[in-house]
Amino acid sequence: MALKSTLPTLHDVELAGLAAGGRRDAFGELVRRHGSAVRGLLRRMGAEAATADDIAQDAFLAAFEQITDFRGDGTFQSWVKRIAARLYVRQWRKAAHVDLLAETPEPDDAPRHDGQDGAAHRAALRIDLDEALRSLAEPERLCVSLCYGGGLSHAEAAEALNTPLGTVKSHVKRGLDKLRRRLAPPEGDGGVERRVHG
Amino acid sequence: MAEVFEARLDRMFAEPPAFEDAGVFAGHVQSKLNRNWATRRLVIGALGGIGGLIGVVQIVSSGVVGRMQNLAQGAHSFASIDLRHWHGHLSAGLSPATSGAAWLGLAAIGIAVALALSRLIEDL
Repeated sequence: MALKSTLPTLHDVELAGLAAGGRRDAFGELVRRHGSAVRGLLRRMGAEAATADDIAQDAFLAAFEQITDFRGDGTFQSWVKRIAARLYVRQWRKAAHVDLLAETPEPDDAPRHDGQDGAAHRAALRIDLDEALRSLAEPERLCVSLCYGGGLSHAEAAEALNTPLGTVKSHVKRGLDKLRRRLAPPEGDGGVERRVHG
Repeated sequence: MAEVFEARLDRMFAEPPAFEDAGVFAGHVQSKLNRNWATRRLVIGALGGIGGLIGVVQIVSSGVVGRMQNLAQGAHSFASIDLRHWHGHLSAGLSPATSGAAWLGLAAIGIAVALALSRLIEDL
């Protein structure tokens, strides 16, 4: 049996296996590793900080309950992110935001530039992404975050949002267009195509 | 080019923001997990205890003690086993003065068995 002190050295799949056997400390290590990613995703999807943290906690508790379903096919982080994304969408729908999906305000675009290296560059990317996401209309932000941050396919996002697939695809496309213009280097790199999910 | 941008977007989404209170968040989740776990154990233990008590009541009301007496009386006819000594003890145990203690003992055994079973089920 793995000692508590050795938990930080274990792989996520090993920790999930221990958690499936009732080791809550092993699951705690997974929370320490991936908590920020899940909280960050929820905020990028549009959740307020406190709401994002509440949903992230619920997502981890739900993940612990379903930990035997995690077979290590994908990463633990993507698995728990999907749980969190679905929880947020459920709450978002309860708050009667569904009508917002039907209409999209016009963009508020301003090209931005990033060109640093290493950690500073990554930090700049984060800030740029967060800022760029804030410039999107709510449904675009939600759909793009669901598909790119939450790892859901367009079809899965449409099902989660209870919205036609075409609507989700058009929100994603518009969102990507805007993000591309905001995040592209000054010289730009042409038009946008859509990635085909599931 | 679109794939390049989308790959870049994937990388950006994969880069988690840094939260100063990451440790506090993990602590909250851990304490909620522990609380849920403790509540679950308490509920399982309580249900096991109640089940044990019901079992003891069922055993007592089915007259198993009387049947044990009869068994003991019948068994002394076997030449190799002399249960008269035990029969005497059993009869003494069922005298009015000590019958309360006997029931309490039975109930305690029942509860212990129920708790052990509930623990076993929980571990499974």
